Amino acid sequence: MSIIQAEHISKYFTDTVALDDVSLEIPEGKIFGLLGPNGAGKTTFIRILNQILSPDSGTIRIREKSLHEDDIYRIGYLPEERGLYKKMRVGEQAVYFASLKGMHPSVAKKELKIWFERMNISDWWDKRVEELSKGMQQKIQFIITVLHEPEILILDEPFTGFDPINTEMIKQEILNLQQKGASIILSTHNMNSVEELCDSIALFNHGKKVLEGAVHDIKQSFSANQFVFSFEGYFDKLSASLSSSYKIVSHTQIGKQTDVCVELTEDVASNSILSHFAQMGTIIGYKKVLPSMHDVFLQTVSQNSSQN
Amino acid sequence: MNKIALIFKREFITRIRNKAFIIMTFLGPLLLAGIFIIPMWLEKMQKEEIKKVAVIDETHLLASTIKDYQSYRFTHLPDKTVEEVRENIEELGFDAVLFIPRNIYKSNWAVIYSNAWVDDALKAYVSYVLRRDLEYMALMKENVDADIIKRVSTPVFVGVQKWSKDGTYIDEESALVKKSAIAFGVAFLLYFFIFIYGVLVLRGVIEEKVNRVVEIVVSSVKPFQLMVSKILGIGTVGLIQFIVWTVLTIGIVYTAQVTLFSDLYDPTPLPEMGQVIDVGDTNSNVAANITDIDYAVDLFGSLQGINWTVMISSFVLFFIFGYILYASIFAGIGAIIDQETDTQQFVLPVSLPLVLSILLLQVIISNPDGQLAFWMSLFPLTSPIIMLARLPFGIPYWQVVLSCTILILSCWGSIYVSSKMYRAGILHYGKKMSISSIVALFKRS
Repeated sequence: MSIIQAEHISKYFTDTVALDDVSLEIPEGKIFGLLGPNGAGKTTFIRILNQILSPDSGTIRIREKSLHEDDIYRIGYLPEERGLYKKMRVGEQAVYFASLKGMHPSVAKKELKIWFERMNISDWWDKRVEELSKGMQQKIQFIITVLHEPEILILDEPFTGFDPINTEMIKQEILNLQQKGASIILSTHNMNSVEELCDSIALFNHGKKVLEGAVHDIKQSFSANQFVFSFEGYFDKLSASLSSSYKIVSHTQIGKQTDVCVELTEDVASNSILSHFAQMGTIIGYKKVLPSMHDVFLQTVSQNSSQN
Repeated sequence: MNKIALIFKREFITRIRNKAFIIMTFLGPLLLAGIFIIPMWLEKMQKEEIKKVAVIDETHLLASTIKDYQSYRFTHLPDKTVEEVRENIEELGFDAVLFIPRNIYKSNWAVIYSNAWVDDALKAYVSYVLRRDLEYMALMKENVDADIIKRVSTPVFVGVQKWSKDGTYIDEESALVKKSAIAFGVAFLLYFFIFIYGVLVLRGVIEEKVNRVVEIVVSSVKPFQLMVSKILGIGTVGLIQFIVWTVLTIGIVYTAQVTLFSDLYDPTPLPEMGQVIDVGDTNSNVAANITDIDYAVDLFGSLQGINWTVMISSFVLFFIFGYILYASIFAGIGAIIDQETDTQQFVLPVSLPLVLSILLLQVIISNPDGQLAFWMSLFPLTSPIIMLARLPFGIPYWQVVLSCTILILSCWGSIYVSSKMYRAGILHYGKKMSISSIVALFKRS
């Protein structure tokens, strides 16, 4: 079930193609990663979802219905380029933004008090924004983004400016929101957080969608049929290299433990060669080698760029 | 709640709460009043300073007719020569020496000696008295009857009368002066208003870009709504500040005028011909000696020929739409530039029509029905100021309506174009938009 369907979206600027016939489905109730190098068109796509820009061609549908003016109330958007009015007081400003998103000021105030309490920032209410540190401002902005409990949450690099403790805190909040039913779009260059949070992703490059799918499936498809065998014992290279069912990629030995990475020849089942290594020592374990999202990103983008 | 109302409220409240704003609102009238009061005060000082003038009269006749005038005290010294007095001017306690030579009847020439500045009022007064008496004596010499002399020397003042098509209204010379004063007043008022608050709009737009707050705002509201409410919010703040300024300034100046300088505008009429030498009829009631001071006190009284309803409602319309036109242009500019340091080079060309209007104001007012006045009051970038300046002189209604229509349409167009620039420009960070990209933007959006 997808909450957002984008069909054949194109957007041109004066001298560049920002989006080139992009079609995308964003699943409901999941965390969806929007990846891509700088200038790939992610921000343009997000701005189109927020109706800040309109596409030159193509349609966006939310829950099967064409994008409507009032849909902005259902979206919470944390832009990458973000800031607050420096001279305004924190509480007053948060209420202002909440009422722009359609909340009644008194409700907004009540909800904000709860959030401020939970994040231990109640004493910031009457401070001017310029008195706060950058990390503090980011926290306020995160609260402002999610306060009206949007169905769709679009977070563009939400972790910049946070220390590790606050990053963890925000991650937990994002997962909480997902559990409450929000569909979340996460645009980031931080691949670790993609692995941790995202269920599925789309990768943009040069205005085109070049990769899409569930994170696990993508990793599987990028894996090169490699396995790591770990055993206690000594690696007999000569004997191992005689086998025709696999090629040795690397091997390491730390203390008694040996890790051997091999690439299997096609049609060979991994457990069929288990016995081969059992002869060299006691098997501790073996597992398939999956690439990190970082590797997937680099590989896809460099391949895609060399094709162009 | 309506979003325009929400943004309007924010723009309004954050500005009106600002300390600098509050201080300027109440300090401004003091400074402005100072501009009016200080010259009055200096003038008063000058008038109260007695200047003593020694008179050396070789004719032994004319000196007696030179009476003290304003702060000048004339002392006839029949026994001294001009050299004696000049050399000892300080010991004798004089500021200047007036020398009337024996041959003045032929040469028409007298001299004021002084080691300090001789002001024009003294020169004008002395030459007026001498000319008057010399003419009088020359005519007497020809045996012209004294009554006839008085009659022929009656100064004639040309009054201007103007009537509307139904032949009703009459325009006096003094009313014309008052109307000019009103024209200048309202024109400058609008000029400053546009400059102060139009630029405030521009800076507000840039501030939102620099703070990077704008993307959050436009994800909730349309750029058009943001722009319009900003223009209206700042305009309202400006209106309140201007009203406070105007009321307080007039209040302070008026109070000062009545209490401190009440004697300043009490004109001393120049003596008439024959009043001095021939101590005859002093009741001669010549409508002379106009001193155009009275309008300062009574600016709006006895102004015939102005339809106040039309005047005030047109004033409000031109004021508001003139501001909106320029403010929307400034908002568009603010959206496509990135730093406040760039503002000057963009503000200057846009405000050129405004500056031109002010420069040509004198020309317009001296001929409010001329071609230049007509066309400038139709062109939307100059019409707010020029039309306001023309209004007190009574112009055909169709012109007011036409000009107002053009202005309102231009406002609409300018808001439309600016909101496009705004929409595209506010999210451009770091790089200036080139002309071609701005043009392309209009084609697209």
